[in-house]
Amino acid sequence: MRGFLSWLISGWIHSSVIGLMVLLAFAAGLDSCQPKKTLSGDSNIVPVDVVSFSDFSNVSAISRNPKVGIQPDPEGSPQPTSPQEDVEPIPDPSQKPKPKKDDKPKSVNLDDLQTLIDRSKKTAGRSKDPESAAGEKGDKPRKCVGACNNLSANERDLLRSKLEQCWRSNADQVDPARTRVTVRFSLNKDGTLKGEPRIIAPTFISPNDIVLKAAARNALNAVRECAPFKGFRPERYDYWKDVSSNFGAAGVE
Amino acid sequence: MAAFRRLFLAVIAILFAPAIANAELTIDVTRGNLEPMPIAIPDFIGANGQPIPQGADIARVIRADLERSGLFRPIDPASYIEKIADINRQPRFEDWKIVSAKALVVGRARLLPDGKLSGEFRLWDVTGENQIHDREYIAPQESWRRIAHKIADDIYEQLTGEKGYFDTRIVFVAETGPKTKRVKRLAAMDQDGANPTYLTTGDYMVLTPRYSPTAQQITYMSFETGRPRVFLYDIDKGRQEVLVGETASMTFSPRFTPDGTAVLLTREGGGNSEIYRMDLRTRALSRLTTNPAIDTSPSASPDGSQIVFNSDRGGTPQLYVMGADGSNPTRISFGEGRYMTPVWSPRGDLIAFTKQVSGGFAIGVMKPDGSGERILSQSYLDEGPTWSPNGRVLMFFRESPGGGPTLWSVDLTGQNLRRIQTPGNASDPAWSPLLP
Repeated sequence: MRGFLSWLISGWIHSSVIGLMVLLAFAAGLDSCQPKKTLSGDSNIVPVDVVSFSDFSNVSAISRNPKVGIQPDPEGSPQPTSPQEDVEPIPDPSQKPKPKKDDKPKSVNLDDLQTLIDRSKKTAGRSKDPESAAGEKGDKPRKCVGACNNLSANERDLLRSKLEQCWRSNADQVDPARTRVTVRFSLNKDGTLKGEPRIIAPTFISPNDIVLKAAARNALNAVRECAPFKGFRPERYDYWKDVSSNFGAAGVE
Repeated sequence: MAAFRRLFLAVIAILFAPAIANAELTIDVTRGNLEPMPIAIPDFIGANGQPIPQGADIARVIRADLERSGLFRPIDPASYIEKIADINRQPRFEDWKIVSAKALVVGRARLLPDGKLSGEFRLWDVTGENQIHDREYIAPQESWRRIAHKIADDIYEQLTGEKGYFDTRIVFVAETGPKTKRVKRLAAMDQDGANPTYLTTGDYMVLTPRYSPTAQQITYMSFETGRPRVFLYDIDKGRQEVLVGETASMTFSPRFTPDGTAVLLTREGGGNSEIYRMDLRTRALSRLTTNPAIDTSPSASPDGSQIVFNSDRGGTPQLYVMGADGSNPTRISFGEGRYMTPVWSPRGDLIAFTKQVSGGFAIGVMKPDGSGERILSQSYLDEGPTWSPNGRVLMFFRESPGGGPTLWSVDLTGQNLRRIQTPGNASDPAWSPLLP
């Protein structure tokens, strides 16, 4: 009986090892199929699409009547200024002046405000240093709720908090539900990216689907720009080394 | 038995240990930032890699277009490290990351043997270190601004996923003279204020111009025949005609249907204003509303199935939505104040309106069912909203006590409020669709 069981286990282990080797070989093969970027030589010269639009637009016809022209066409040849380009945004006189951080127009981000409010709730009573939030002494993982598979809520919060700062929200899209994407990425023990992040959902993005391509690019770049992810406990590396992140505005189904 | 139990536990451990070790940390990122994207747009180089005046002009217009949208922050060219000498070479991404660029546009402007101007560009994802898009546009030299606007539209679309709105025109009412004797002429210009042109003389007053879906025609109200009448102006031919020729009634507040085959308008007769639909092929009028109250300012939904309009049948001017045939008029505005000049968004998701509230007028939006009302701009007089073709920006006119009207734009966040430069005072703007 014992011999039979030993044979069985031995066989299972061997088949697992062989299977693993096959998978590794397959993965290596896939990697070798990826397009390579070249920095020199002629191989990186990409053909340019040529598009011509009509020589005479419907708009240009308006100025044919000399009687109704406001002024001589200032754009007969490339000229320096348009009336608009050098004009600074004019503030709404009905609004009170606000202190400026810089000259650049910035949109107020209600999501950010909400994030700050929520973050203040989460970090109340904890260290002020968000980088050390997950590594504090005595800061034990929260109790799991639902199917959390023993994963630390702190690690999840830390990742989410960082990615929310790097991700350009899709909340103002016409159809935010259509631009939800899932990115899978792996981390080294020092928090740097291990390999490239990749889109795992949707499983197929048409080259002509500009909306989804832009959403996927935004999500991938959020992960790249956020790295390295600091503040994780090395002894819990197994729990945060592989991450799957769903990017999509809240309340959008 | 004990050995068997140990073996059983070992098997369980072997089977499930990899699963536990390989478990993914799954998170939902539901909130992000809406900050303008830093983008680098060096001056377009010439055919031989040297600077060319047209290249600098094109890049400047692109930068201005994108900056005005509020979604991009063009980086000061003086801070660029890499000098682009060949647009067919991959840029040094590290140099562009140092200046915080997330996207990079490199381009070339060339005069072709036939005298036309070529503008070609490549859009790079600096963070992802790959090319996003490339294209070349060829046009007569005098249309160099359109090349720039088209490239800006391409960049906007590739990076946001939405169509741009830069290669468009604005038709508006140019106003000159004192308030008591003001001359109102129909005029048009590029969306950035360039290339302004008068379409009518100032001999008679014109109001409420609207573009057709093909941007080939404009419909508006004019006093040319003495009484307010709806006219049609053919842009290519530079010719206008009266749309409703009968003399017994007044017609006003025209607007094309989304398919361009008809004009919705208001016809006043016997003291009652009703909404009509005029078929542009047969010139037949069909009545859509039947109510003793004032029904006016119709605007059709993008799919043409519904019409939003303004009516005081409830006692004060409010917004109503009905079927395209006039069926089932339903009130959708219930806030305080008076609601006027509704315009359905090209995206279909919102209706813009003018709202008269205590102390002034406001521009706002609400969903087609009346929910989610938001005020985007408010002053002494803000009136007459018109949508950009992508439904993200509204233009309107503003007037202050003692001052003439001026054009302004604001995006859906209500934050990116800007004045649009016009040759003089201007009111009643209408945004064209993207030009062909």
